[in-house]
Amino acid sequence: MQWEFTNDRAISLQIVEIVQKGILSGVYPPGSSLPSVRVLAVEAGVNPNTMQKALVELEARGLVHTQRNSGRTVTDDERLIMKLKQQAAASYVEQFFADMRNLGFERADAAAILKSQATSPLEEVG
Amino acid sequence: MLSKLIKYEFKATGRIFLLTYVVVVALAGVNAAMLAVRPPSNSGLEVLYAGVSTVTGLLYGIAAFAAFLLTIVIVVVRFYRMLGDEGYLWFTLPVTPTQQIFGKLIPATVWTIVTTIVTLASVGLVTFRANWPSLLGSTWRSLASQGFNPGVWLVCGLVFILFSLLVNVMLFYAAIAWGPNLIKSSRLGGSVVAYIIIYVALEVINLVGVLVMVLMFANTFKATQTIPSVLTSADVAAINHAGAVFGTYFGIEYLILAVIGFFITRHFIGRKLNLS
Amino acid sequence: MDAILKTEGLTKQFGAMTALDNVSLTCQAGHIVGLLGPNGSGKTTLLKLVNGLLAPTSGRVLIDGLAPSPSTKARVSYLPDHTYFDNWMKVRDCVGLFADFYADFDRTKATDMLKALGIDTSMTFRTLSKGTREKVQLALVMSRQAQLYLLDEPIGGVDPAARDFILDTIIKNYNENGTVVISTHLIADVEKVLDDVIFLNAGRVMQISSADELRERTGKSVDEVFREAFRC
Repeated sequence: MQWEFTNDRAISLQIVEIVQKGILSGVYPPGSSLPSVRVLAVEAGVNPNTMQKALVELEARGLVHTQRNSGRTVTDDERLIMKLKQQAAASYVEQFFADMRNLGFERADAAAILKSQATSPLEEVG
Repeated sequence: MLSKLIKYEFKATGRIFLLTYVVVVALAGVNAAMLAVRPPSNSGLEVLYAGVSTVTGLLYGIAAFAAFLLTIVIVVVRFYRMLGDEGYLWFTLPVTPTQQIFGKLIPATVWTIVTTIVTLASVGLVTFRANWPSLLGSTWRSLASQGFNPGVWLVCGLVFILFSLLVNVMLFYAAIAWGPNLIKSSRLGGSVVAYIIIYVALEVINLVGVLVMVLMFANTFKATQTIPSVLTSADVAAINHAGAVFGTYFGIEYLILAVIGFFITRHFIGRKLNLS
Repeated sequence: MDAILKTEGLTKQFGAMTALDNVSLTCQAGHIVGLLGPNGSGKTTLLKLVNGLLAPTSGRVLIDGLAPSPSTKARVSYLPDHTYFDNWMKVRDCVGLFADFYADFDRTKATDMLKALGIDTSMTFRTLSKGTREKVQLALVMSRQAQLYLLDEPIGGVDPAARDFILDTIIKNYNENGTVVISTHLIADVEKVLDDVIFLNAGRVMQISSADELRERTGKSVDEVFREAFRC
């Protein structure tokens, strides 16, 4: 898990994003148990209170659940995970279109380039 | 807590004192040896002997003097440093100001007593031929037979010396504690000035005491001014009386001043502490 | 009582100079608080007042509701910004001293930390470098299970590896009953671990807020906010 933070945004929100990415990418598989707050805080190099706040937020989003005596586990709600994956995918795509517009390619052209690159990748020039 | 403070104080100062004592005793031994191998007259070695024995005698004298000087210096410096950088350690420990003071005062007193004993013993070593036990014994018996009570004089004398030692140390401590508050810009300057003020005050009090006693007991003191070679029982009584009055007055005075010094010190290292 | 540390109108004057001016603040239990300000802003003076090393000119400081005393000193673990051990002492003597005087001291933790830092406990303080001396003191201070930790510039003049070790130790050491106050002007390195920040300038409190709340409100890092606030 790559714990990288910028100091100009709330750390707890950044933790939420990173853990969510980890869940979506399978680093924290569905139904698996998460390390304790303290262990995660040390791993991330952040304040345990901040880590706790983030986990509480993740719980509010339904991504983790607190078991009575065995800490927190990742949700096994496959539909929720799929929905979030699709949301993430959509935002990546929008970012792609925005980057392509900066090069002067409108959406339709960008989509066409995308399709051809997907089937036969070009070598990067230079 | 107090015993731990004392333990660390002894650990910090033990090495230098033991080293000093070894030097003093060794030099005493050298001098004793020198006296034992004194060459007979006309053997041709007198000049050499005189030279060497003068040097060894001088060294021993300097060492003995230095031992006392060192004791005072260490006692003062240890307390002074406690109110410096070291204070960040000692004054954040969970100990009371009273414990801090006794944690330095008790080792200081012990070291002073030990220095005195070691120096006296070293003198005894150098003068080993004098047969001190029988000399002291006969002096004791002679004094006792004349009507002095050597036991009482000895015990009271030792207590008196102890009180005067305590008051001197406490006045140093009081000056060091008061100093930073007296002259805020210079801890050292303030401590020196504070000590001068305290010392002068002590001397004035002592002087007043002496004057009062001279006036009150003019006759008794006149009697002790010229001690005839043969003492009458009246003379002995007068000397005993003078000693009792002098010793009691100054003993109590020293004790009171030591206690006052303690409270002054505790005031300035307690709630009014201002560590640089 | 939730506030482990509280000051009320705390003022400290040294002659004509006012080091702290009417400082009122509260630190919550279990929080890591950054006491941030430029050099000379009164941070060290504030910490010394909490420790009872200085007497207030006016106002008061309360540790768990009590004025500084041997009882509060048993619960406060203080790391000053300079070393205070006698040169003759070996590192293990220093460990012994802490074990002797502090009931909350964990000797095993301290020796493990010193070993992890590669420090030979048989060496005397005289022979250690300045950085190593500071590490020894940090290891001792963090090996106590105190209610309040006061760290004065713990990462100043330390190499990056040691700095990470120090911040790591602070996080690892965290317990809900222990409050850590980190006083520093090197904010960028430390701000990730802070719950709350207190800005101090020329003896006055400029602002107090939670670190994340400050970030969300200004869109800037604590370090940037600090630099802007103290620019002129």
